[in-house]
Amino acid sequence: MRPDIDRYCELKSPIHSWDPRLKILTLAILAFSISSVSRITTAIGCLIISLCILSLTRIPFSFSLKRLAAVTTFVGPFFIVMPLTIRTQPGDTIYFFSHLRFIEINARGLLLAGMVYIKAVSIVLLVVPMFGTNRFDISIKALEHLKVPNSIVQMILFSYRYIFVFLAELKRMSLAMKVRKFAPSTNLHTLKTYGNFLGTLLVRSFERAEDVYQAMLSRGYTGTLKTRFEYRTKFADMVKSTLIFAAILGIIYFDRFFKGL
Amino acid sequence: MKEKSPIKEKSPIITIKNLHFTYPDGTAALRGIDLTIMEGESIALVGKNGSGKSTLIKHINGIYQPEEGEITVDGLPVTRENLQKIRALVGMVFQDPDSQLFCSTLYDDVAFGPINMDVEDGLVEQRVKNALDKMGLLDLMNRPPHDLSFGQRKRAAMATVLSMQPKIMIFDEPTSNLDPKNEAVMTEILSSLPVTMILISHDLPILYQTCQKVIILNNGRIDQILSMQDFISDITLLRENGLDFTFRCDECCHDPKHHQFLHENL
Amino acid sequence: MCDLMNTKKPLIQIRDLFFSYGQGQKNALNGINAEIHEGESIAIVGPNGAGKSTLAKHLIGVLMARSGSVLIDGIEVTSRTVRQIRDLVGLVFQDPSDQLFCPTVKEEIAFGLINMKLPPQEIQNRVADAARIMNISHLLLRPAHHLSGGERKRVAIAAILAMQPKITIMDEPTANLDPHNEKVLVDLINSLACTKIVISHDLPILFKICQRVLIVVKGQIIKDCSMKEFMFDRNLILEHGLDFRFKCKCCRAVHPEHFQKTAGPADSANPADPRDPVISQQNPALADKS
Repeated sequence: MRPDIDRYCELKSPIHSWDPRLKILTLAILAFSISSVSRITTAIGCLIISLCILSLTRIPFSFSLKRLAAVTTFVGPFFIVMPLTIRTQPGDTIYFFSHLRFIEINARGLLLAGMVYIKAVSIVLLVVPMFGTNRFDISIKALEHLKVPNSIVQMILFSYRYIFVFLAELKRMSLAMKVRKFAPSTNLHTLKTYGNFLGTLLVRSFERAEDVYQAMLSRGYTGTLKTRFEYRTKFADMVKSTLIFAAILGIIYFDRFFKGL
Repeated sequence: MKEKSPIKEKSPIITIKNLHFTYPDGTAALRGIDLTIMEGESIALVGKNGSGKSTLIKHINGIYQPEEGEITVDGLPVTRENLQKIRALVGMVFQDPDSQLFCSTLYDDVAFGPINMDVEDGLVEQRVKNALDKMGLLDLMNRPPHDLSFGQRKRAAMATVLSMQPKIMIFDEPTSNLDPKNEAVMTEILSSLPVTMILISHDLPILYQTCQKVIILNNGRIDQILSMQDFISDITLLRENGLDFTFRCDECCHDPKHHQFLHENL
Repeated sequence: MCDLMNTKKPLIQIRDLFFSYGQGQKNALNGINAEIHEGESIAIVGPNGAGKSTLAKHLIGVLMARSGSVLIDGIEVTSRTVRQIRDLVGLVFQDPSDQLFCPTVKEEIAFGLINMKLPPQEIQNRVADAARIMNISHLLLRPAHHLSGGERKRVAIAAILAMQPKITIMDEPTANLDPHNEKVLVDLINSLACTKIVISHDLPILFKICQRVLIVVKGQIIKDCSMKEFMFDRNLILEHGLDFRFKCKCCRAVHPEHFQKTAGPADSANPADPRDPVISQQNPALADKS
C-alpha cells in the first residue's frame, strides 16, 4: 500500500540535503546523457559515476539491487538476441558451432548488449538518488515546480501509488489459488484461470484505487498535491549541480571527441 | 460525553430533500430521501445490504452529486463550488483503514487533510498532535502507517479525519474486525466526540452505546426514523434489519451457571 | 474423554515450531507444540499479531517451518509434500473477495476440483453437494462478485468444502457479517463433519463452534484447554483483551425476558439496564447518557 521508494528518505547525506528540484533536474539530465553514450568505455565511466552518487546517499546497496533485478530481466535477453541478429561488419569476430554453421555468434553483438546493459544499470541506479532521498510527495511537488504538466505529475503520482495496490491484490489472490491446488500447465483450464484471475485483479485493483481516491477527496484533495516543504536553493546545491554538469560534459567529450582508448 | 452535553439539539445541520440516485448500470440506489439531522445528534443508519446506506453517506460530503433533489450542510448547498467547504465540514471515515492511509508516516497522513484545507502552518502541527493524542497514537507519529496493528490503523484512519476538525463525522463500520479490547476503546472514543455523528454498523451494541436515533433505510427509501430505545425494544425490527444478535448469547448466557458467572465476575 | 482421544493417532502434530519472517526480525512463532485429533473443533484465539495466521499458514504449507515440524495425517509439511497436504487441509480466507475470482459461483466451487483432476461427473456431484450444504444452490449461475457479504462467505466456504479436506481452517469466519448472517453461518459450520480450526477473537461465536481452545500470545501457545474452561476463566479473558461482556449486557437490554427466565436472582433486580456500575465506571461517557 505504502510507496516504498522513499523508505530511506530520513537518512542524512549530501544527496538528501540537495534541493529536490535541482537534484531531480540535474540527475535527469545526467540520465539522458548516459543514454546517449555510444562507447563501452564511456558506459563503464557512467556506471562508476552512478555508483559514486548512489554510495553518497548511504542507502544500503541491497535496496537498489531489487531494481537491478528488474533491469536484468528486461535487458538480459539482449545478450542472446544481439549476438545472433546483429548485421556482420568487416572486422567482426564471429564464432560458429562446429556442426551448426548457420548459427553465427557475433562478438560485437555481445559487446553491444553489454553496453546497453551497463547503460541501463547506470540509469536505474540513479533512480534511488533521484526519488529515494526525499519523501515521495516532496519529489512529486518538485516536478510541479519544474513545470512538468499537472496531468503528467498526477499520472506519475497515481500510477506509482496503484502499483502497490495492484501488487498487494496480486499477492493475496495468488495465495488463494495456490491453496486450492492450482498448478499452471498447458491446458484450457490454466488459460481460463489466468483470464479470470487477470480480470478480477483489474476489477479489484480498480475498486480499491477508487476507495483510495474517494478517501483522498474526502480529505480535501483537489488535484494538486500540497506540502509544507520549503523549496530553497542554497549555494551548496548549486555546487553539487555544477559538479554533476561537469561530469556530464566530461562524459560527452570522452564519448564523442576523445580519440584515445 | 461531557463536551457533548452543552450542545443542545438546535438547528438543523443536514437537510436532504427528495434525493434520488441511480448507478450508471441503471439500478436505483436512492429513491426520494427526505431527511433533517439536527446539530449534535448521533444517528445510526441501518438497513440491509444494498439498501443505499453507503450511497447516501457519500452524497453528504459530495463524493456523489445528487442527480435529483438537494442537500444542504450547515446552510451550504452541496454543489461543485462548495465542495472544499463541505469536505471541511463533513469528515468521513471509511471501513477499510488501508484505503485511507497512503502517506509515508502517520504524521503526514494526519496532516494531509488540514494541509489541503489550507490551515496555517503552526496550527497544522497542533491539530495533528491533538488528533493523534485523542486516538492514543501520539508515540507512533513518525512510524509508517502500514507498520501499525489493525486496531491502531483503524484509529489512525479516524485521526486523519479528526484533524480536519469537522462538525459532522460519518463512520462506516468503525468497529468491524476489531478485537473486543479495541472495540471497547473505539466505542469510548466515538461516544466522546463532540460532533454530529452518523454511524453505519452491523454491531448493535456499538450503535446502542453511541447513538440516540435510528434511521432505517429500505430499498433506497427511509422506512422509519425512531429512537434507539424504541428500536432495540422491537425485536421484529431488529430481525428484519439483520441486527438481532441475541443468538450470540444463547449459549454463553443461557447457561444459568455461566450467566451468573458473567454477571458476578466480569 | 480426553484420554479416549489421545489413544488415537493425532491428525495434526506440531513440534517445536519456530518461524520468523526475516533475518533479524523477532520470531513470529516461538516454539509451538500441539496435537489435534480427528473431528475436533479448535479455536485459536489471541491478540492481533500474536501469530495465529502465521500458524495457520504452516498447516497448509504456505509457510514452511524454519525449525521444528508440522505433520498432517502423518505426513510432514515440506515443499515436496505440499500438494498432498493441500488435499488434506483447506483454508477459508477472512475476506471472501480474496478468494473468489471466477465468473460464476458454480465455476468458483469447481475450480479446486478441476485442479485436483477429478472426473467431470464427480465434479458436478461435489459442486451440487457443497452448494446444497452451504444453501447456495439457487446462486450457482450468478457471478460471485454481485452477491451479498453473507452469500459470498458461504460460496468461499463451499469452494473449500467441495475439495473435501479432512481439516478446514477458517480465518475469522464471521468477520464483517451482520448478526443474521452470523447465525446462519454458525449453524452451517456446526453441521460440517470435518476437523475444524477457527481463528477468531469473537468468543461467543467460538463458544458455539469449538470445544477446545488454543490461546496464542507472542508466538507461543500459553494455554490449551476446553472452551468451557476458558469461558469461565475471568483472568485469562481479561488479560488477552477478549472481554466481550458489554455485548452481553446489551443483549440483556434487548431481550430482558430472555434472561429473567434463566438468570439467577441477582439479575432480576434490574434486568433491563445494561448500564450497570461496571460499564459506567469503565466508560463514564455512558453514565450520563439518557
